[in-house]
Amino acid sequence: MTNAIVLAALTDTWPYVIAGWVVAFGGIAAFALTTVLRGRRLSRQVPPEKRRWS
Amino acid sequence: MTTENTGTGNVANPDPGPLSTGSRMTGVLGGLCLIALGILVLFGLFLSPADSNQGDAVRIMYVHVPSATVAYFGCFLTTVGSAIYLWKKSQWWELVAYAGAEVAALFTALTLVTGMLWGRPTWGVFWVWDARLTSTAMLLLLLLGYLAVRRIDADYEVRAKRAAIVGLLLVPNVIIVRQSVQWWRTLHQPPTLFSDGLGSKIEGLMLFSLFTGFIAITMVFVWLLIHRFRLAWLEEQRDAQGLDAAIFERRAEGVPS
Repeated sequence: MTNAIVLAALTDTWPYVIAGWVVAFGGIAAFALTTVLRGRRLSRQVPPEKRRWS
Repeated sequence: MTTENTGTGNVANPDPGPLSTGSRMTGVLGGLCLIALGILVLFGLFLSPADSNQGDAVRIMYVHVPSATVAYFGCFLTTVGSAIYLWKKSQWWELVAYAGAEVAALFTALTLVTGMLWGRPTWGVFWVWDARLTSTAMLLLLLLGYLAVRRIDADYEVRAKRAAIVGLLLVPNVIIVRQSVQWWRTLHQPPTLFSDGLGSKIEGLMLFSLFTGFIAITMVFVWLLIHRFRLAWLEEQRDAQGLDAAIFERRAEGVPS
């Protein structure tokens, strides 16, 4: 019974689907977070007149 | 040398300005991105049906195909920005190219990984040296090469010019990636959308999910591009400021007290 469940999980496509979405969303989130944090750190080293975003 | 600006403001300059790469516009866009991604999850994972051939693996396509598309667009921006920089020496366009390459590298990597995760249940293997997969891997290497050249320890003009020359190669490479399924016999299937003019091989909720993916991922791409551009701008301002301070200190050393 247990073997059948494990086999079904391995042959099922859902683990790959979940992994694909986690990688995509996780990758985007990590990149966005790194960018925002670096931006906050760098902003303190640059005078205000050089960082006027519209 | 860099100066620390705490952003508290003073009498001469009471407005400290934004202490991040964000603005009201990117805040609104970021909120819309989250809503669009939520809708994508809802339709892509729950409401759209499984494919008759691919089964549930088709759900990976709703992030894989849009990721590839925005990666191509990032490469296009980098090539255009590089060409304009080489022609007009415009720093603005050079930074657009740089930001475009960084975001394109992210989405090219995501395209490869999600493609591998789709390939395992569909083809039975994570990777084959198929023309589409190989050319996409080469595109990622070219993007990483661009970023490596852009970050070498040299004057801004030197690294910008060298990176721009690499950047010119991106669009020709994207054309090879795009056409690889037509030019060679590959395991990768031909385009699902617009393969016969404006026609589509999918319909209904699956088509809607794919278009939701395009909209959501494109919005995220634009949000990341704006932030990454501003980050690159801040880096250049900091470096220029540090250079000015170093020159000032050097000159001060030569003045007898």
